[in-house]
Amino acid sequence: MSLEQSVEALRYLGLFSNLDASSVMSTAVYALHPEDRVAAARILMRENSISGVPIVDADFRLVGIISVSKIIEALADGRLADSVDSVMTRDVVALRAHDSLETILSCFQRFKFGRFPVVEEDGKLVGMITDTDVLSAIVRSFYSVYVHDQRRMMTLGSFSALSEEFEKSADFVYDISCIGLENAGEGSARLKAFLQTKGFGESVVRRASVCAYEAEMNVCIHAGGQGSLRAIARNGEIIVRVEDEGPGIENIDLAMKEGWSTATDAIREMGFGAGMGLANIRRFSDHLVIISGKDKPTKLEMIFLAGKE
Amino acid sequence: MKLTEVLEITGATCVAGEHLDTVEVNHAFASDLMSDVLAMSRSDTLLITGLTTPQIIRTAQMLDLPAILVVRGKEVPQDVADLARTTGVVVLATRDIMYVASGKLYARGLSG
Amino acid sequence: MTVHDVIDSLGADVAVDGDTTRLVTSGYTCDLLSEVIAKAAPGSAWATIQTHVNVIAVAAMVGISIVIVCEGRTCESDVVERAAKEHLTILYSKDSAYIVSGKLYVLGLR
Repeated sequence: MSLEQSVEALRYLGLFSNLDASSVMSTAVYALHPEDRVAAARILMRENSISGVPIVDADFRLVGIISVSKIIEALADGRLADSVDSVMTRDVVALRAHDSLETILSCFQRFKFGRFPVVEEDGKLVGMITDTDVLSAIVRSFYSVYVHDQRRMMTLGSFSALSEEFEKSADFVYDISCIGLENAGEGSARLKAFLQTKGFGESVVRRASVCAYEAEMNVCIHAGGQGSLRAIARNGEIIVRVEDEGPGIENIDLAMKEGWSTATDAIREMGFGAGMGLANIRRFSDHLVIISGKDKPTKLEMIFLAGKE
Repeated sequence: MKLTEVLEITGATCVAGEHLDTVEVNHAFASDLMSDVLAMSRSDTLLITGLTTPQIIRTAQMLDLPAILVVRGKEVPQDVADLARTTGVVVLATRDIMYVASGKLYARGLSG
Repeated sequence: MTVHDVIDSLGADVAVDGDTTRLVTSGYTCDLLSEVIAKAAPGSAWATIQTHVNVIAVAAMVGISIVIVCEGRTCESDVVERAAKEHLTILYSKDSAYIVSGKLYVLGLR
C-alpha cells in the first residue's frame, strides 16, 4: 500500500483523530544558528544520521532549514566554511504543534519532504516529524487497539470510541463510582434488569450482563473505581460500552490470557484477580474491541447478538 | 436435588430465602474466586463458596443461580443477606469446610 | 492413604513428581491463600484453581502433601520448579474443584 493509499484509508476510517503533531514529533532536535558553518551542519548530520537540520535564531525561532542535498551542493562548490545562513532554505514548510494527523499526512503527501519542523504559534521550534515518527506513532496507537473480530476493518470503522454519538443515543446509562468493592456490580445488575424489559432472550441477556459485570469489576479493581457503563439495545443486538480513566492495560495480549493478572494479593483475597475477567469477556461476547495502553483510559466495546442462542 | 436436601446433607441453615422445598439444583460449583464462577454458564447450579461479600450475590444474579451455600462456618453479613432477599437468591450456610460440603453432596449424587 | 494413592485414584496428570510417599490425612478446597494458611491442616490434599508461585510458598508453610490444580489450569514454569525443589507433588485435573473434592471424599479422605 502506498503512502497515498494509507493516508486515504486512515482518513476514511477517521482513526487516530486524537493524535496531533505534538504527540507524534520527536522533541530532541538538533538545530544550528545562522552563523554556524556548513561544515558543522555536515558533521551534525553524519554523526546523528539525520537528513535535515533546522536553523534557529537566538530565541529559538525557526528561520530556515538545511538538508543533505544542500550540503552536497556546498561540498561541490567548496563552501564548507560558509555560514549556514547563506545556504539554508528560508521558506520552511513547518507544522504547528496542534496540527492534526490528517494535516501532517497531507503535508507529507503534498511536499514530498522527509521531515517537517514543528513550531509553536510564536515560531519557536519545539520538535521535528519525519515519516518514521508518523509510522511509530501509528504503530504505537495500533498496538493498544485490540480487535476480536474477523471483520477487523469493518469493526474498526464502526467503533466510534471517539465520537459522542454513542453517549447521546445510549438506551442505558450508569456512572460507575466505587470505593472499595462494596457496591461494585450494581451497574451490571441494573443493566440486566433493563435488558430483561427489552424482550431479549435469557441467554444473550446473561452473556451481556456477565461481561458488563466483569468490565465493571475491572474498573473497580484496576482503575480507581470511576468509569461509565452505557448500552444500546435494539435491532437484535446489545452493545455495551465500559470506559474508565486509566491507568490502562499495558499489554492487552497478556491481559487476555487466562490466569494472568495484575491484581494485588488483597484483591485476590476478596475473590477476584484470578485473571479471568477479560478472558471471560472475550469468551462470551460476539464482537469485542478494547482500546487501551499504558497510562491511557481503557475503553471496551462488547457486542452481543441475539440470534446466537 | 432440592435445597431442603442440601440443608439436611450439610447441616446448613437458611440465611435468606423461602420455599426451599420448591427450589432445585442439578449441579454444584465450588469456588472462592468469582471470575472463575462467571466463566461457568449453567444456571441450575448451587454455588458453594467461602466468600461472604456482596459480590457472591451479584455473581449469582448475573448467572441466574438459584442458591449459594456458604461454607466454613462463615457468617453472612446483614447487607449481603438483605441483598440476597431483594434479588431472590437463596443463601444457605454450613459449618462444614468446602471440601467436606462438596464431598458430602457429591457422594449423594449432586454432580459437578 | 499416600500421595501415590491419590495420584492413582484421581487419574489426573502429574505435573510435578514430588515425594509420593507422603501421607495424605485430609482434604482442603480453597482459593483464598490467607484462608489456607490459617485453616488447612498439615498433610492435606489441597484442591485449588490458583496457579501462581505463592501457592507453593503457602503449601510449604502449611505442610500440604499434594496440590491438585483444577479446571484444566496449569502453572507457570517457575511454579513447577519451586514445587520440585520442595518435593511437592502437583496434579493437573480437568475436573472442577467440586468434583475433585467429591472424588477424594468418596475414596474415604476426610
